[in-house]
Amino acid sequence: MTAVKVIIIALLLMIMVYFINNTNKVYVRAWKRIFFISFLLTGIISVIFPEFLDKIAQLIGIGRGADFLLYILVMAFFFVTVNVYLKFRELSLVINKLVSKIAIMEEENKK
Amino acid sequence: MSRIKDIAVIIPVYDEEPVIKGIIDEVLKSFETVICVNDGSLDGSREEILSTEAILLDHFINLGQGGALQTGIDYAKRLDAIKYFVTFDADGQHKLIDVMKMVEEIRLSEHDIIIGSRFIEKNNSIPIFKKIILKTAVVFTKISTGLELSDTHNGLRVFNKNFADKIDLIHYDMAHASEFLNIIRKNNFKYKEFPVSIEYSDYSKGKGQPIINAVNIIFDLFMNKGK
Repeated sequence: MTAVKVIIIALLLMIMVYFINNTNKVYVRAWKRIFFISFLLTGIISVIFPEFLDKIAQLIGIGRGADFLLYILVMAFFFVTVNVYLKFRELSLVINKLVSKIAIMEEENKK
Repeated sequence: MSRIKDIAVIIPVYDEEPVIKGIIDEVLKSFETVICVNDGSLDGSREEILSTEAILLDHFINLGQGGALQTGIDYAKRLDAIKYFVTFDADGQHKLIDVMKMVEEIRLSEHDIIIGSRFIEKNNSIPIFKKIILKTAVVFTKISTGLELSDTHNGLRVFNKNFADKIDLIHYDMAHASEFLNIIRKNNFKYKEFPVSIEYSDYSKGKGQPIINAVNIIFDLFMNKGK
Protein backbone atom coordinates (compact mmCIF):
# COMPACT_ATOMS: atom_id res chain seq x y z
CA MET A 1 0.00 0.00 0.00
CA THR A 2 1.90 3.02 -1.23
CA ALA A 3 1.66 6.49 0.24
CA VAL A 4 -0.08 7.72 -2.89
CA LYS A 5 -2.85 5.17 -2.48
CA VAL A 6 -3.45 6.14 1.12
CA ILE A 7 -3.67 9.80 0.25
CA ILE A 8 -6.03 9.15 -2.61
CA ILE A 9 -8.33 6.99 -0.50
CA ALA A 10 -8.42 9.55 2.29
CA LEU A 11 -9.14 12.36 -0.14
CA LEU A 12 -11.92 10.46 -1.86
CA LEU A 13 -13.57 9.53 1.44
CA MET A 14 -13.54 13.14 2.58
CA ILE A 15 -15.03 14.25 -0.70
CA MET A 16 -17.79 11.64 -0.44
CA VAL A 17 -18.71 12.63 3.11
CA TYR A 18 -18.79 16.28 2.10
CA PHE A 19 -20.99 15.51 -0.91
CA ILE A 20 -23.46 13.59 1.22
CA ASN A 21 -23.78 16.30 3.83
CA ASN A 22 -24.10 19.14 1.36
CA THR A 23 -25.89 17.30 -1.35
CA ASN A 24 -28.19 20.13 -2.32
CA LYS A 25 -25.73 22.96 -2.48
CA VAL A 26 -25.24 24.43 -5.91
CA TYR A 27 -21.53 23.73 -6.23
CA VAL A 28 -21.89 20.15 -5.03
CA ARG A 29 -24.53 19.51 -7.66
CA ALA A 30 -22.29 21.05 -10.30
CA TRP A 31 -19.29 18.94 -9.25
CA LYS A 32 -21.37 15.78 -9.20
CA ARG A 33 -22.22 16.48 -12.80
CA ILE A 34 -18.62 17.22 -13.68
CA PHE A 35 -17.56 13.92 -12.16
CA PHE A 36 -20.28 12.10 -13.99
CA ILE A 37 -19.28 13.56 -17.36
CA SER A 38 -15.61 12.82 -16.66
CA PHE A 39 -16.57 9.28 -15.84
CA LEU A 40 -18.37 8.92 -19.17
CA LEU A 41 -15.50 10.52 -21.09
CA THR A 42 -13.02 8.18 -19.43
CA GLY A 43 -15.22 5.30 -20.50
CA ILE A 44 -15.26 6.50 -24.10
CA ILE A 45 -11.51 7.10 -24.20
CA SER A 46 -10.67 3.72 -22.72
CA VAL A 47 -12.84 1.99 -25.28
CA ILE A 48 -11.02 3.77 -28.11
CA PHE A 49 -7.58 3.49 -26.47
CA PRO A 50 -7.58 0.29 -24.37
CA GLU A 51 -4.15 1.05 -22.90
CA PHE A 52 -5.43 4.29 -21.41
CA LEU A 53 -6.73 2.67 -18.24
CA ASP A 54 -3.54 0.66 -17.83
CA LYS A 55 -1.47 3.84 -17.95
CA ILE A 56 -3.57 5.55 -15.30
CA ALA A 57 -3.51 2.43 -13.14
CA GLN A 58 0.29 2.29 -13.25
CA LEU A 59 0.47 5.96 -12.34
CA ILE A 60 -1.36 5.25 -9.14
CA GLY A 61 0.31 1.93 -8.41
CA ILE A 62 -2.48 -0.47 -9.22
CA GLY A 63 -1.71 -3.49 -11.39
CA ARG A 64 -4.02 -3.41 -14.34
CA GLY A 65 -6.46 -1.03 -15.92
CA ALA A 66 -9.19 -3.55 -15.22
CA ASP A 67 -8.45 -3.39 -11.48
CA PHE A 68 -8.56 0.39 -11.61
CA LEU A 69 -11.91 0.23 -13.34
CA LEU A 70 -13.20 -2.14 -10.68
CA TYR A 71 -12.23 0.18 -7.85
CA ILE A 72 -13.80 3.13 -9.60
CA LEU A 73 -16.93 1.08 -10.19
CA VAL A 74 -17.23 0.14 -6.51
CA MET A 75 -16.93 3.76 -5.46
CA ALA A 76 -19.36 4.92 -8.11
CA PHE A 77 -21.88 2.30 -6.98
CA PHE A 78 -21.64 3.39 -3.36
CA PHE A 79 -22.01 7.00 -4.42
CA VAL A 80 -25.06 6.30 -6.55
CA THR A 81 -26.71 4.19 -3.85
CA VAL A 82 -26.36 6.89 -1.24
CA ASN A 83 -27.56 9.54 -3.67
CA VAL A 84 -30.66 7.53 -4.54
CA TYR A 85 -31.43 6.95 -0.86
CA LEU A 86 -31.14 10.65 -0.07
CA LYS A 87 -33.27 11.64 -3.05
CA PHE A 88 -35.90 9.09 -2.11
CA ARG A 89 -36.02 10.39 1.44
CA GLU A 90 -36.37 13.93 0.18
CA LEU A 91 -39.32 12.94 -1.99
CA SER A 92 -40.87 11.01 0.90
CA LEU A 93 -40.79 14.14 2.98
CA VAL A 94 -42.50 16.15 0.26
CA ILE A 95 -45.28 13.56 0.01
CA ASN A 96 -45.65 13.51 3.78
CA LYS A 97 -46.07 17.26 3.89
CA LEU A 98 -48.64 17.14 1.11
CA VAL A 99 -50.81 14.52 2.85
CA SER A 100 -50.55 16.51 6.07
CA LYS A 101 -51.53 19.77 4.40
CA ILE A 102 -54.50 18.16 2.66
CA ALA A 103 -55.75 16.76 5.98
CA ILE A 104 -55.65 20.21 7.57
CA MET A 105 -57.20 21.95 4.56
CA GLU A 106 -60.09 19.49 4.43
CA GLU A 107 -60.92 20.18 8.05
CA GLU A 108 -60.71 23.93 7.65
CA ASN A 109 -62.89 23.84 4.56
CA LYS A 110 -65.67 22.16 6.49
CA LYS A 111 -66.39 25.40 8.32
CA MET B 1 -66.93 20.50 35.94
CA SER B 2 -65.60 22.84 33.28
CA ARG B 3 -63.20 21.51 30.70
CA ILE B 4 -59.73 22.87 29.94
CA LYS B 5 -59.83 25.37 27.09
CA ASP B 6 -56.20 26.28 26.47
CA ILE B 7 -54.73 22.84 25.90
CA ALA B 8 -55.00 20.67 22.78
CA VAL B 9 -54.75 16.91 23.11
CA ILE B 10 -53.40 15.31 19.96
CA ILE B 11 -54.16 11.65 19.40
CA PRO B 12 -52.63 9.90 16.39
CA VAL B 13 -54.80 6.97 15.34
CA TYR B 14 -54.07 3.97 13.18
CA ASP B 15 -56.53 1.09 13.19
CA GLU B 16 -57.92 1.49 16.68
CA GLU B 17 -61.58 0.96 15.88
CA PRO B 18 -62.38 -1.16 18.99
CA VAL B 19 -61.16 1.35 21.54
CA ILE B 20 -60.82 4.81 20.05
CA LYS B 21 -64.29 6.15 20.75
CA GLY B 22 -64.02 5.26 24.43
CA ILE B 23 -60.62 6.87 24.70
CA ILE B 24 -61.66 10.08 22.96
CA ASP B 25 -64.82 10.46 25.01
CA GLU B 26 -62.79 10.00 28.16
CA VAL B 27 -60.36 12.75 27.17
CA LEU B 28 -63.21 15.04 26.08
CA LYS B 29 -64.54 14.96 29.62
CA SER B 30 -61.57 17.06 30.73
CA PHE B 31 -60.39 18.81 27.56
CA GLU B 32 -62.38 20.87 25.08
CA THR B 33 -59.94 20.50 22.21
CA VAL B 34 -59.15 16.95 21.16
CA ILE B 35 -57.46 16.62 17.78
CA CYS B 36 -57.61 13.13 16.39
CA VAL B 37 -55.45 12.38 13.39
CA ASN B 38 -56.58 9.34 11.44
CA ASP B 39 -53.43 8.07 9.79
CA GLY B 40 -54.94 6.16 6.88
CA SER B 41 -56.65 3.54 9.00
CA LEU B 42 -58.00 0.57 7.09
CA ASP B 43 -60.64 -0.29 9.66
CA GLY B 44 -63.52 1.83 10.86
CA SER B 45 -61.47 4.18 13.05
CA ARG B 46 -62.45 7.18 10.96
CA GLU B 47 -66.16 6.62 11.51
CA GLU B 48 -65.60 6.03 15.19
CA ILE B 49 -63.77 9.34 15.50
CA LEU B 50 -66.50 11.14 13.57
CA SER B 51 -69.06 9.85 16.08
CA THR B 52 -67.28 11.83 18.80
CA GLU B 53 -66.84 15.57 19.25
CA ALA B 54 -63.14 15.41 18.54
CA ILE B 55 -61.67 17.27 15.58
CA LEU B 56 -60.80 14.81 12.81
CA LEU B 57 -57.78 15.27 10.58
CA ASP B 58 -57.70 12.62 7.90
CA HIS B 59 -54.53 11.33 6.23
CA PHE B 60 -55.65 9.57 3.07
CA ILE B 61 -52.57 7.36 3.23
CA ASN B 62 -50.63 6.05 6.21
CA LEU B 63 -47.61 8.21 7.06
CA GLY B 64 -46.63 6.91 10.49
CA GLN B 65 -47.15 8.12 14.02
CA GLY B 66 -44.66 10.96 13.58
CA GLY B 67 -46.60 12.23 10.59
CA ALA B 68 -49.89 12.08 12.45
CA LEU B 69 -48.38 14.03 15.33
CA GLN B 70 -46.94 16.66 13.01
CA THR B 71 -50.30 17.20 11.32
CA GLY B 72 -52.08 17.44 14.67
CA ILE B 73 -49.51 19.84 16.09
CA ASP B 74 -49.54 22.04 12.96
CA TYR B 75 -53.31 22.31 13.18
CA ALA B 76 -53.30 23.03 16.91
CA LYS B 77 -50.69 25.76 16.49
CA ARG B 78 -53.16 27.75 14.43
CA LEU B 79 -55.71 27.83 17.22
CA ASP B 80 -55.26 31.05 19.16
CA ALA B 81 -56.67 29.71 22.37
CA ILE B 82 -54.14 26.90 22.66
CA LYS B 83 -51.14 27.45 24.91
CA TYR B 84 -50.11 23.86 25.67
CA PHE B 85 -50.09 20.62 23.69
CA VAL B 86 -50.46 17.02 24.78
CA THR B 87 -49.49 13.98 22.70
CA PHE B 88 -51.50 10.94 23.74
CA ASP B 89 -51.53 7.38 22.42
CA ALA B 90 -54.71 5.90 21.00
CA ASP B 91 -54.32 2.35 22.23
CA GLY B 92 -55.23 2.87 25.87
CA GLN B 93 -51.70 2.66 27.28
CA HIS B 94 -51.76 6.20 28.58
CA LYS B 95 -53.83 7.27 31.53
CA LEU B 96 -55.78 10.49 31.65
CA ILE B 97 -54.92 10.98 35.30
CA ASP B 98 -51.22 11.13 34.39
CA VAL B 99 -52.01 13.78 31.78
CA MET B 100 -53.86 15.90 34.35
CA LYS B 101 -50.88 15.73 36.71
CA MET B 102 -48.42 16.62 33.96
CA VAL B 103 -50.61 19.52 32.85
CA GLU B 104 -50.70 20.87 36.37
CA GLU B 105 -46.93 20.49 36.58
CA ILE B 106 -46.19 22.41 33.38
CA ARG B 107 -48.43 25.29 34.37
CA LEU B 108 -46.68 25.70 37.70
CA SER B 109 -43.10 25.09 36.59
CA GLU B 110 -41.11 26.77 33.84
CA HIS B 111 -40.46 23.69 31.82
CA ASP B 112 -40.95 23.71 28.09
CA ILE B 113 -41.76 20.03 27.90
CA ILE B 114 -42.68 17.29 30.32
CA ILE B 115 -42.22 13.71 29.18
CA GLY B 116 -43.78 10.66 30.76
CA SER B 117 -41.48 7.94 32.02
CA ARG B 118 -42.32 4.35 32.73
CA PHE B 119 -39.15 3.79 34.70
CA ILE B 120 -39.35 6.25 37.53
CA GLU B 121 -41.80 4.18 39.49
CA LYS B 122 -40.63 0.65 40.10
CA ASN B 123 -43.97 -1.04 40.08
CA ASN B 124 -44.50 -0.93 36.32
CA SER B 125 -44.62 -4.40 34.88
CA ILE B 126 -42.90 -4.23 31.54
CA PRO B 127 -41.89 -7.33 29.60
CA ILE B 128 -38.20 -7.98 30.30
CA PHE B 129 -37.06 -8.02 26.70
CA LYS B 130 -38.73 -4.72 25.96
CA LYS B 131 -37.18 -3.29 29.08
CA ILE B 132 -33.68 -4.22 27.91
CA ILE B 133 -34.22 -2.59 24.54
CA LEU B 134 -35.59 0.59 26.08
CA LYS B 135 -32.73 0.82 28.54
CA THR B 136 -30.27 0.44 25.67
CA ALA B 137 -32.00 3.31 23.94
CA VAL B 138 -31.47 5.39 27.08
CA VAL B 139 -27.72 4.84 26.90
CA PHE B 140 -27.63 5.56 23.18
CA THR B 141 -29.59 8.76 23.71
CA LYS B 142 -27.24 9.92 26.44
CA ILE B 143 -24.30 9.40 24.08
CA SER B 144 -25.81 11.10 21.06
CA THR B 145 -27.75 13.95 22.66
CA GLY B 146 -26.31 14.33 26.14
CA LEU B 147 -29.80 14.18 27.62
CA GLU B 148 -30.39 12.17 30.79
CA LEU B 149 -33.67 10.37 30.46
CA SER B 150 -35.03 7.22 31.96
CA ASP B 151 -37.53 6.63 29.16
CA THR B 152 -36.64 7.82 25.67
CA HIS B 153 -39.59 6.44 23.75
CA ASN B 154 -42.64 7.59 25.62
CA GLY B 155 -45.52 8.97 23.58
CA LEU B 156 -47.04 10.90 26.48
CA ARG B 157 -45.74 14.47 26.39
CA VAL B 158 -46.92 17.91 27.40
CA PHE B 159 -45.21 20.95 25.92
CA ASN B 160 -45.71 24.67 25.42
CA LYS B 161 -46.05 26.81 22.33
CA ASN B 162 -42.36 27.66 22.14
CA PHE B 163 -41.56 24.00 21.88
CA ALA B 164 -44.39 23.31 19.44
CA ASP B 165 -43.08 25.98 17.09
CA LYS B 166 -39.79 24.10 16.79
CA ILE B 167 -41.30 20.77 15.87
CA ASP B 168 -40.61 19.89 12.24
CA LEU B 169 -40.32 16.14 12.08
CA ILE B 170 -38.36 14.42 9.33
CA HIS B 171 -38.97 10.89 10.50
CA TYR B 172 -42.53 9.71 10.40
CA ASP B 173 -41.82 6.25 11.74
CA MET B 174 -40.86 5.46 15.33
CA ALA B 175 -37.64 7.44 15.07
CA HIS B 176 -39.73 10.57 15.58
CA ALA B 177 -39.53 9.99 19.32
CA SER B 178 -35.80 10.64 19.14
CA GLU B 179 -36.43 13.79 17.12
CA PHE B 180 -38.30 15.28 20.06
CA LEU B 181 -35.17 14.78 22.12
CA ASN B 182 -33.04 16.41 19.43
CA ILE B 183 -35.32 19.44 19.55
CA ILE B 184 -34.73 19.71 23.28
CA ARG B 185 -30.99 19.54 22.78
CA LYS B 186 -30.81 21.95 19.82
CA ASN B 187 -32.87 24.65 21.47
CA ASN B 188 -31.80 24.04 25.04
CA PHE B 189 -35.35 23.59 26.19
CA LYS B 190 -36.08 22.90 29.83
CA TYR B 191 -37.39 19.37 30.14
CA LYS B 192 -38.50 17.13 32.92
CA GLU B 193 -39.64 13.55 33.24
CA PHE B 194 -42.80 12.61 35.05
CA PRO B 195 -43.69 9.15 36.33
CA VAL B 196 -46.55 7.53 34.47
CA SER B 197 -48.12 4.14 34.85
CA ILE B 198 -48.55 1.85 31.91
CA GLU B 199 -51.04 -0.93 31.59
CA TYR B 200 -50.23 -3.51 28.99
CA SER B 201 -53.53 -5.04 28.12
CA ASP B 202 -53.69 -7.85 25.60
CA TYR B 203 -55.00 -5.32 23.11
CA SER B 204 -52.14 -2.85 23.46
CA LYS B 205 -49.49 -5.56 23.66
CA GLY B 206 -50.45 -6.58 20.16
CA LYS B 207 -49.82 -3.05 19.03
CA GLY B 208 -46.22 -2.67 20.16
CA GLN B 209 -43.28 -2.07 17.87
CA PRO B 210 -41.38 -5.14 16.78
CA ILE B 211 -38.04 -5.00 18.58
CA ILE B 212 -36.06 -5.40 15.36
CA ASN B 213 -37.37 -1.97 14.44
CA ALA B 214 -34.59 -0.64 16.65
CA VAL B 215 -32.22 -1.43 13.78
CA ASN B 216 -34.21 0.83 11.45
CA ILE B 217 -34.38 3.61 14.01
CA ILE B 218 -30.64 3.61 14.62
CA PHE B 219 -29.87 3.48 10.89
CA ASP B 220 -32.14 6.42 10.11
CA LEU B 221 -30.79 8.47 12.99
CA PHE B 222 -27.23 7.78 11.89
CA MET B 223 -27.98 8.91 8.35
CA ASN B 224 -29.35 12.10 9.81
CA LYS B 225 -26.47 13.01 12.08
CA GLY B 226 -25.41 16.56 11.68
CA LYS B 227 -28.64 17.72 10.04
